[in-house]
Amino acid sequence: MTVRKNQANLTAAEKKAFVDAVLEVKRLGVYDEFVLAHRTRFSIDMNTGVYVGHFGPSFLPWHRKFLIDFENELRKVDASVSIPYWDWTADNTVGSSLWAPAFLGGTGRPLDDQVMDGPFAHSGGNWTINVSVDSRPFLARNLAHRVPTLPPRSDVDAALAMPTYDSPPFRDGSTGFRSALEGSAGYMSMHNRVHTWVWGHMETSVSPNDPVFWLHHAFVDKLWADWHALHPTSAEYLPAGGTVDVIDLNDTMPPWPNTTPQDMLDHTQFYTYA
Amino acid sequence: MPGPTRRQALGAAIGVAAGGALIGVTTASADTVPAGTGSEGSAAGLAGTPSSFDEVFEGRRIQGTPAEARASAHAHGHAGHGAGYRVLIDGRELPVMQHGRNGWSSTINHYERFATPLEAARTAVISLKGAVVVPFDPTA
Ligand SMILES: [Cu+2]
Ligand SMILES: [Cu+2]
Repeated sequence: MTVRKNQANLTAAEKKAFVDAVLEVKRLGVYDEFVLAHRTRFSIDMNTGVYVGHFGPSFLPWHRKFLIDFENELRKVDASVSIPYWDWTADNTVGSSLWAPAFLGGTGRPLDDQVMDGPFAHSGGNWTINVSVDSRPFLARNLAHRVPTLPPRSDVDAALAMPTYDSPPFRDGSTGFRSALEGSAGYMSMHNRVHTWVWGHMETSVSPNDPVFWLHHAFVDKLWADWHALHPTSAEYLPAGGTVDVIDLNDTMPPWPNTTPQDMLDHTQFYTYA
Repeated sequence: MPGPTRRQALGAAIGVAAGGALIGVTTASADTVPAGTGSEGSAAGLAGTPSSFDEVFEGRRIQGTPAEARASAHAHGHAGHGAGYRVLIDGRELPVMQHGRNGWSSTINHYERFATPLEAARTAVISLKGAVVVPFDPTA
């Protein structure tokens, strides 16, 4: 059984096992397939106006499936590994051990935002950006540069208190838990704000190039599970059906040919959170 | 990504998108994008399609053109994001997209909203620190 843990509680050996598995998935060329899938999802969604991956209700089940697939690739390399989650309301500084050289490495240098330490520094030879939207071959970050702070716990609690998953029009302008958590209900808030706080690749449509993407989205995914536990009588996903240009509960989510939001509701068949 | 191949992914995406409308033509309104994003370029976004721009910003030439004005323009690379507006940085396309009334974003700053494509272009220049945008196949 896969148990996802808070990254702050990982042992040094667990951190190393996770990093080593990520590097191996990268070396195999599989990692870049995930980056490509994310870039493509953004592009197709923006070109069609059908918001599958982001900015609509299927943001949460789409990324849940995306993480499950990635976690499966990690576990082919090392079956002891799971995706840790980063509680950015608690570990909310540049000095967090998350950014230590023995884990994800730190912020980028001023010249070009290039990450210079840790396992994902370009100079280490294991982390070249291959799928991108710009010419930077190195992982880029500038922590706390664009926005000084990460979302506070009070913002998370306010989102968790909302009884409704999502609401019409199920895109920009919607209110409810999903849009509050994603951050599309406010300016530079919640999930979106975390991407912007990290900056560099995390700010772009190829954000999975930064391995912190997975830890960030594991926490977002955990919050969806937490929200459901707090509101057991609320529909865990909306809309239920018949909504034009929106992924309904039983619609398939591209690029997967057979995966619906309904299939993603019970995460415990795939993993649990510790 | 495991499971579906890239081609299957594209097919599945097109299936869902069939009949989908293009992103709405409503323009960004200033009241949905708070202060701090800068107000320089916002006037153009207040009515209809944002107007054209062509300027040098921090040493980079940035250009923006509404769809109607670029019907005969030379096509750079591929048909990019959002048919409504085209942005170039030093002659290379920066894909931009409109999020209903909430404003604009680009592939470089995908988790922010800007009042106008001009603001999106300027922020991309600041973000890139000398790197250039690289065209890509939006359907993989
Ligand atoms: Cu995403
Ligand atoms: Cu994200």
